[in-house]
Amino acid sequence: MHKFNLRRIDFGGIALYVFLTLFGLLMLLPLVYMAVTAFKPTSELFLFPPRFFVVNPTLMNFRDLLLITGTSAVPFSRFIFNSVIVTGGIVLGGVVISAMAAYPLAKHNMPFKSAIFNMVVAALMFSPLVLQIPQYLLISRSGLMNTYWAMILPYLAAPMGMFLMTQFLRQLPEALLEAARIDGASEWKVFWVIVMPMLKPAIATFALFSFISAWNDPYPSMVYTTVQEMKTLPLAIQTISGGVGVVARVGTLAAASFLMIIPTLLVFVITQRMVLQTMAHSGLKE
Amino acid sequence: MKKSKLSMRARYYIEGYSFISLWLIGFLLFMAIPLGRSLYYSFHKLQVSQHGLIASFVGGDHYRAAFTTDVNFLPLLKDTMVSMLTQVPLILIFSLFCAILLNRKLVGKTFFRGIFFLPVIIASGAILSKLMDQGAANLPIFYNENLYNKLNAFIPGDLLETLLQYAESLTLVMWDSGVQILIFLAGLQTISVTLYEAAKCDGATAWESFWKITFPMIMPMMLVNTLFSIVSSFTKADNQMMTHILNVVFKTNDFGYGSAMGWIYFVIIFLILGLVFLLFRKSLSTTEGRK
Repeated sequence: MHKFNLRRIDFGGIALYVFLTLFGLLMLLPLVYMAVTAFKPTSELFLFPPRFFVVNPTLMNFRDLLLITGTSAVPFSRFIFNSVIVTGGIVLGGVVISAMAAYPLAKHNMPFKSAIFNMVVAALMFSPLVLQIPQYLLISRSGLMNTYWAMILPYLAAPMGMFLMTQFLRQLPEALLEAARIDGASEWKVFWVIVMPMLKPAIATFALFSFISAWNDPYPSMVYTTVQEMKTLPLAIQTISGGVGVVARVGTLAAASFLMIIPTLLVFVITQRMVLQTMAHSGLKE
Repeated sequence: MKKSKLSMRARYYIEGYSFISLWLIGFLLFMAIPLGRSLYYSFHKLQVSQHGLIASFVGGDHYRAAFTTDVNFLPLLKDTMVSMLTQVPLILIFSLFCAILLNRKLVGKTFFRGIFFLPVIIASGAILSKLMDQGAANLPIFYNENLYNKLNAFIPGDLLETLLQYAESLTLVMWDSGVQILIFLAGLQTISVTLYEAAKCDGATAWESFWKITFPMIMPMMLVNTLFSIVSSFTKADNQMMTHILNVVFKTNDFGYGSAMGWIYFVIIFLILGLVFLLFRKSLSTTEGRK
């Protein structure tokens, strides 16, 4: 690792790097632990005292994962497909809807504007808990159970995305919008051609957060679906771990979780720079 | 002339609202109406019958029951409070510390920032909480080396136990502070360099300029982070109170009582947030004046 700047000895700098490396390693610990566990053979999984690193790495856990899922009625690829549809729907729909709402809230003058915005801020503080019961009743009564809509619709109007984007839009210059309007662009066109590209960093941030929560959350699939074909990946993985031979499947669970994290890591790598940018401009300060 | 101007404005409003409408519909359907509903349910006893749910008014019975008959409610409430009170200050201190370190000039800045944000991505998954149950979250040194008995010779038992608890929750604290680090970083970057230069010219040490410049200037971020940490610690998926309410609702099907508990919990969160606002008000107003 490239830690020390050897050209000139700077003790403060060295201490800084030592600290950061130590903390960084601790931060990496869960990821490494999980990756390592995924490659452990059974003989090493239950060693006492437990050993952190794997001695004889094996792909057995991944093979087991395929075997287990091969025997169940629903192919594993179906779970992946469900997860991709649901997550994709939530992220795409959420981004477009929040951005559309954020634009007039930040740049238009109209009645009830501040009332709506205050509502958003208050909604940020609600615990989702109080809402779960009526949401469930609503979904089950409207006959949406066991559809993708049930898992996507409740999460589309996200207060978080709206808040982030409104704050971000507020400090963008009005002049661009004015210029476009004078040139005869309709509001709809202004939104897609000017506002959306300018919003990119905020969109990336919100997309990352909503991807993480949607991809990892077993709750909607647990509550809104009753048939096996509609389950999403996180729930399917939980079922793997909670089956009959619970002990024997620790390795398989680790393998499955390891595979689940890969898409999240990819999304993070793609959006990372923009996320840091938004946080710096999120207008929290001014 | 006047008429056409009015209609222009009306069109402008309509356009604005048509942009918001989709979000608003979603918000009303899935947040506002459910919220009102759950408040209504919390005063009623619900029974499932062939004709759907039948609600009969019971007044504040559910609220009374939470504090008097439910043996789990108060202890769990206390536990969540205690864990919030211990974790939020630790998270704040740790994330401010990290943010200051990460804000300095260093090679591989993006790399380190990425690493510190990584746990947010991974640890938010329910899968990882399963792994944590198997001991990934506790630093193995604490029990492997029989640290308790060794240290007990120097430190009295009660004190040591709390200390070890702190140490053990440290990993969890670190994994929870990714977002807070980012917010602090953003705040640190808005502090103008000239302030530090001026302080340096006047002979202030780094320690002094931290307390006299960085700390007051970061106060707004401190407020945001405190609020964020409190809310996230209360609404975390592995929070025991949340699990208890979920159990009541989905295992015993007691919607009314579940809603009542949810509202009590929510009101408590709101009171605490209000308290935090009050505490921060004074220090915030001094920063405002400085700008």
